[in-house]
Amino acid sequence: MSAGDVIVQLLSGLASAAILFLVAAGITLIFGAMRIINIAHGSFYMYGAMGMTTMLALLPDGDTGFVVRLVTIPILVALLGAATEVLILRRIYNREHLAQLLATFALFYIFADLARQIWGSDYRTASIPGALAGPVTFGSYTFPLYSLFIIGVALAVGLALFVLLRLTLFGWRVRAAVEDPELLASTGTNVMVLSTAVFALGAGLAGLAGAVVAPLITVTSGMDANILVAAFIVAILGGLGSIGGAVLGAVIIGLFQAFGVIWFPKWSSVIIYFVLIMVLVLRPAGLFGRVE
Amino acid sequence: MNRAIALTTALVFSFAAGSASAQEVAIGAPMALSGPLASVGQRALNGLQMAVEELNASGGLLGSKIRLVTGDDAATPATANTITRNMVLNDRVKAIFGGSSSATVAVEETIAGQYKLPMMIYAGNDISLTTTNFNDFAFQMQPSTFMEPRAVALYLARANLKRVFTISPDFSFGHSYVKNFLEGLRENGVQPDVVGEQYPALGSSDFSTYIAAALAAKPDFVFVGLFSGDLVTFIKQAKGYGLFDKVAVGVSTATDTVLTLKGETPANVTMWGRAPFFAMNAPGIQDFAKRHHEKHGTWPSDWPVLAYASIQIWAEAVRKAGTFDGPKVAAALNGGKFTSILGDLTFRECDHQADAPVYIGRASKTVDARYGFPLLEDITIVDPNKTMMSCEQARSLQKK
Amino acid sequence: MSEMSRLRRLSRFFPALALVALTLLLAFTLQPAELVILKNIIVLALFAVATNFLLGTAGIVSLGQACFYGLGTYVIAMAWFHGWADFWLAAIAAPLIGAAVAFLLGALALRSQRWFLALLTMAFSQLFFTIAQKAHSYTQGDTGIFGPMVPDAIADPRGGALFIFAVAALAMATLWWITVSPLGLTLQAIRENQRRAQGLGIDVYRTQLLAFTISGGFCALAGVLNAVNQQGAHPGLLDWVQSGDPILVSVIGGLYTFLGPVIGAIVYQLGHDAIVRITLRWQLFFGIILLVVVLCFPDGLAGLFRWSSWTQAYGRLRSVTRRPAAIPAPPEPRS
Repeated sequence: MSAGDVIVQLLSGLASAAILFLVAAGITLIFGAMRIINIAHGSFYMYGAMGMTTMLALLPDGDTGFVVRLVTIPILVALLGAATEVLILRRIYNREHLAQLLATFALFYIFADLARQIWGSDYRTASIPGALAGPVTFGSYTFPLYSLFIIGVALAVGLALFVLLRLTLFGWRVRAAVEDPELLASTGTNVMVLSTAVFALGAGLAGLAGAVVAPLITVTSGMDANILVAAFIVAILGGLGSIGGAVLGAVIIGLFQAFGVIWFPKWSSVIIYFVLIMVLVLRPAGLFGRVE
Repeated sequence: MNRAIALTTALVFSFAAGSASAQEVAIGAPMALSGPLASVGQRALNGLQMAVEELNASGGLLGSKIRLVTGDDAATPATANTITRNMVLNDRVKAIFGGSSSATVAVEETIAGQYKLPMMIYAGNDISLTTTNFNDFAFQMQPSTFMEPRAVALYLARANLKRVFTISPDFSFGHSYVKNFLEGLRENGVQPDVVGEQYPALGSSDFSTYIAAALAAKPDFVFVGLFSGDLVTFIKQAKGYGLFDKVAVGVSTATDTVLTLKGETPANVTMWGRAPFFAMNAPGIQDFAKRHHEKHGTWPSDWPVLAYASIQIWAEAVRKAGTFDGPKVAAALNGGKFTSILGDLTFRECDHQADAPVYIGRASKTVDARYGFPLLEDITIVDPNKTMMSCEQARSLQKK
Repeated sequence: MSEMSRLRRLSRFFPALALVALTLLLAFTLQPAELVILKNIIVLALFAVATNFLLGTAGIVSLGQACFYGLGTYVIAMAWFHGWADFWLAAIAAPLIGAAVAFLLGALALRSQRWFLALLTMAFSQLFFTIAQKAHSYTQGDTGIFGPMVPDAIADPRGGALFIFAVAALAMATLWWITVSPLGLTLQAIRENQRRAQGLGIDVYRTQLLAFTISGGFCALAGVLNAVNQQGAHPGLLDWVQSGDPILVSVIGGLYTFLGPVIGAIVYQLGHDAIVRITLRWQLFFGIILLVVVLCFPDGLAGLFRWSSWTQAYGRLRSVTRRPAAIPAPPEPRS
């Protein structure tokens, strides 16, 4: 493979990593601050993607329509997340993790059914906006501009999360919740509202991932289950609770998948599991995680 | 997930249906109505329903009304197993029309043979269906995975390709497709240098790494065995990598693809299909296409055409046999010549393979004003007799 | 006096004996189409009881028991397809292979706890699913392996039902015996309070690993019975959503009673078939019912027979409208 080919493959891997990061970031944030694993997290991703394919007068099409959708759909999904947290999840915080698992599993089924009611079961497509549709050429190599856009979105979001968590009061509170929730409560912070906000943020990130990836793929029912395992692996790999871990985990998995197709074509999809197992043998809590 | 939904839908349909009354004859059509192959099933369903409605409107068949029993198998063999058995045992169907993918058709074929019901295969063309999995009751209407890729190889033999890269879905059909393409090239005097063979999972949403790998291998030709939603995704993503500008690419299910992508179809890509209505002049095909367009708002792809024809042919066989009885209808189909919107088809006796041609051409640069999508240009209709497996070979592979 | 206490001691077996009698009756009287439902229930029940050995008795949440279940089915299917062994040899080998694989996976997975364990086992389930899809020459990939892979005597609907029932009953009896043995009690002690158990000198890791191995072996046995029932193997048997089924069944029936998963299997299968006949939107109903059970009836259906469950459920429902606890509390050792 020539250098140009390697770069193309590298960028492809990073584009996959970008989507994985967005979904895994939500998972890891929610777990870190609230100690809860949401099996229905993939449903937020799917709703984001489905929203992108919907032809509604309220969500205009075309280039400006694309921007409008990209902003509003994650917000709508975040609101859905907030509603879920307030109505359902609050009832199971005190329960053992099996109950939490099953409750979110039930939500997974309910969300899947609702999605089918709204959008049907045939596959759906969205168009790449004209401005982002072209190829990017360097030398004799071509790479889709839209994939670069996806990488850009993930970078921007990663940066925004960094700023949010490190430099704002909200971020300080979230990090404190990760470290020691009881102490945080004793400082007078309204932890309930904080929980809702964190969950909504996580859901919104997943919704953004879905919305941004929709024009590139065929959107089907079943994408909620498909993304879930990969995103969980990335989150665990990086260490639950660590955004930096989610970045690193996503990049590792994305690149292994990309180059795995060339190096081990038959087993490329199995590689991510081996990577996970190897890392966990060496560091049981993930790369940047801490042992409970 | 989709299995659960499929099983649900299937059970509802089959239980709610109950058994047919004396003046009514039921026929069963398991298909994929959810999951990655949902478009195949849903488009075929349109064709089946039109055929049954028209049949009933003209007085039914042998004095009986035909009732179509459908079920969603989500292209999963286990689900197909369950719902097809339900159709046979609960709805007492007299014939089976299937399915959406070779994997489920294989299961349905076995059940048809077990219960002695004629089965018309209008989708799913793996060669195993007429050889290793063959039984006396299954009839293959399409060119098989032995024939279809060989037709493509024949067509391309003049082009003197050396380096070949293949991308095909990872199940029996996908592997068979590639194997037969490569063998076809060799039989036509081309020694292909296979620079890559990739088998992404059916229903993958991201082909970008496969596309990049294809480009890195610098092939002369990329043979793509993907179909339905996967192919649409692949083409959308591949355009971003400039694949179609750099390398000659060949894709299947031509009509399906141009119908979905319309103006976004990459120009000059080699495409082949089993029933592109705009290029066919069989009796009734253009009329059927117009009726389909009026009823459903879209022009028919291969699937509704094949499905409609499957019922036409079965009905004719029933009339010839004078009864719905399975073995007698199968005997009428065996070796018989039938006319339908596909043209004339004869099912040869050794493996019940019809002499179905393959249509190959290049995608046009311009969208046809009449239809709203680009047609195929320079169409070659490959003679099936040049590509069919010999009867001796077929028989040797069939179970004793 | 001793007569009374003996009777009372034996009375705990009455529900089990009643089930056995009922099943035998049904096995001999049902029609073939209905026997399929009975067989489905029995296989699911064994799968659930084997999973619940881990879940309820040992308190270990594994989202990967489908690995072993599917493995059991595939051993039978591949032995037939490739001609490696006849059915009976494969049927004996399958649980042993399942136990061996469980030992290996457990050795890795049990180093983590709770959430990490659950997610790791989920990943293992998916790993095996992907391998089943990809290892074409062995497994036929997505196409799966279908065909007459069991001897005719048990391929026959009634013969098969009796065989499945006999094996499942024996297996459950064995699991029950293990549950009330010192091993079972040790596992429950660990489940209740791991630190205290460690303080008593119990090697938690090794005990849990043993439980994991046993559960894996019996799940594989359930897979063998599944092969007898469905006569087919396909990758879908191994994915993580399939792993959810025995857990759901156990929760619905009651985690902490031995027969709970069996009740759960009956209710789940019949309820599923019934709901499916009424509505296409099976998943919606299923999700709602599950949510209600989790929120209000943590002891499952077995708990429905206790009045206290209903008052507790009422209390929980009322608390839904009141403000919940201020912060997510640290995990309690016992549910």
